[in-house]
Amino acid sequence: MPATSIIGIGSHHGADQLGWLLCERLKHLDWPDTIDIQLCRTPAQLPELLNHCENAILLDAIKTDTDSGKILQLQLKDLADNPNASHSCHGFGVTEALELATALGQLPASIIILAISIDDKTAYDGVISPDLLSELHEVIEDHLNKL
Amino acid sequence: MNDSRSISIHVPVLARVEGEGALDLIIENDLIKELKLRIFEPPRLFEKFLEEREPDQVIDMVARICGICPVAYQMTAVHAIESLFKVEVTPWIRNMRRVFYCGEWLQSHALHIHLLAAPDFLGFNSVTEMAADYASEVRRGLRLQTLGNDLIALFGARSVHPVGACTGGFYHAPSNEQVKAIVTRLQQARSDANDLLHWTAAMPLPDDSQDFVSVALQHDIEYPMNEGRIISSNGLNIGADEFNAHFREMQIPHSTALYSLLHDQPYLVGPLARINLNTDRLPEDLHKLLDQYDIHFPSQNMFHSMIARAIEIRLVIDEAIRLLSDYQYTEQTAVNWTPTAGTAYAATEAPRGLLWHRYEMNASGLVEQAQIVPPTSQNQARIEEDIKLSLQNLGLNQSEDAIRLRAETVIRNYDPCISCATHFLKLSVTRN
Repeated sequence: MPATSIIGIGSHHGADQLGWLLCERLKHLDWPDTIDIQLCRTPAQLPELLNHCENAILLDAIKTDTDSGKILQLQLKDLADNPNASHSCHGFGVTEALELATALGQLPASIIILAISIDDKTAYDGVISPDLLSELHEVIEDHLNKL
Repeated sequence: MNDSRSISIHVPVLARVEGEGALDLIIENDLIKELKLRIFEPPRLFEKFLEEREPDQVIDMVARICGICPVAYQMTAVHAIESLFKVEVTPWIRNMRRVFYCGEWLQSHALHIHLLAAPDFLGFNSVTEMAADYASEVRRGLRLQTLGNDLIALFGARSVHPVGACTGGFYHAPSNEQVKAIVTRLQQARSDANDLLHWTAAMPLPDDSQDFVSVALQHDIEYPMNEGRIISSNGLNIGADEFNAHFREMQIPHSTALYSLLHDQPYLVGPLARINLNTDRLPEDLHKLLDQYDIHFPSQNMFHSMIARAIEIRLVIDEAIRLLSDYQYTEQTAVNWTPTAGTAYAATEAPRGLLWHRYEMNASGLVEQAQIVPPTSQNQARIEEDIKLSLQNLGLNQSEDAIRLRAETVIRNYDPCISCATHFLKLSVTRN
């Protein structure tokens, strides 16, 4: 399986911690040695993290009008087409970080964003359901097998 | 030609600053009629949350005030509490706290210079645009920022909201191998820091000298970070416990951040103020480097803050190398302490400037009342004053776009952290 970094994006706050929590849970599953799992603490760190990986899978929470816990597979252009898609610190969010990595030629050979939907109206309780984790594992393995 | 005109400039959301703020500016007949830096981010009430908390809870909680400068909040809290409890830390703890702080200055300044401020001075709307022409410089900024983050994580376990600091010291010490690896990276980063200093010194910064008062810490021999007296360019020289006798916080209608005034006047905190007041604390080799450029400190050009940050990046890299070069792992990472009732005070130098804390604590070591004065609220009145002066120097007959850009450039030049600054002094509710 090709070397791939699974990068959880987020913070300690509310639903924004979802990317981190999922990565922490994924670490307890069986992965080949070529897979590494890490956390990204601010979007400004993302270009440097991407600079050092061959393939990347980004995990992040996404606010939607739909139910929580849906896994959306996004490509870079999906973020570019939705300039308000990412929230940010210093006006520098995931979208801007990926644009910067692109401008610097620091994107890995392949990159997908797995966005986990969060219901905008309900406070996130920090619980990861076994079904969500299982589905995420499956989606990641499918993606890795296609690389 | 009619030379009278009215301009109303409204920047609804300030870009490339931390937090939520806006700028309202009305110019009538080439005079500024109204200027408001509106900070509308909701108050965060941290001071109230800290009440009835134990010292180590305080240190963890204040880190959450800011994702960019958590070390500053932790170090200010820990110094205040230890000052009251009369805790004497070991030289190892003192030195490693300084290294911890070096990491924060490094990552914060590298982020500000490369990603937030430089596009303004080089004519770009964003760092992404700038990367097309300045790719190697942007990569350098990201490398330096990553190194700063890793230095914080070395002692804090993570770079955002670190958890390694405690009353009396640290919870753990990094291994000799970890320190050796980061010292190698720090040594390699010296050339990046030199290049950065050269780059900022050559940058087309506006020549905009103004009359302002600088306020910063001053230590007997060191460039100030964790310790020192609060001094100003107009003669102030006080201990942290005297802050409230000279500085006044006040609320204004258009901001959820408090204004802070020194003897009822605006003042500057931050890298330029620090260098202005501590030029003689810079190491000799940095003076020699600076001699190459026609830039002299103290400086009254606010835009020299960019160069001041670059100088401080070089300074903290060397300082971290010096403090870590003879590093030895130890199990004695913290000293014991006993709570004492009383008032705890401390001031340290956050990347953005002076950060002051005061805690009323009871005999059990619980906080009864807290007061936190962050750098951005101290700079708020100065920012408004600076925008007025800078726009007058630019010429109020300039185009709206030029005026808007200069105003935003002035604000970003301070690297304001609005999220840190938003809190209420007092909430008064009247019910009939």
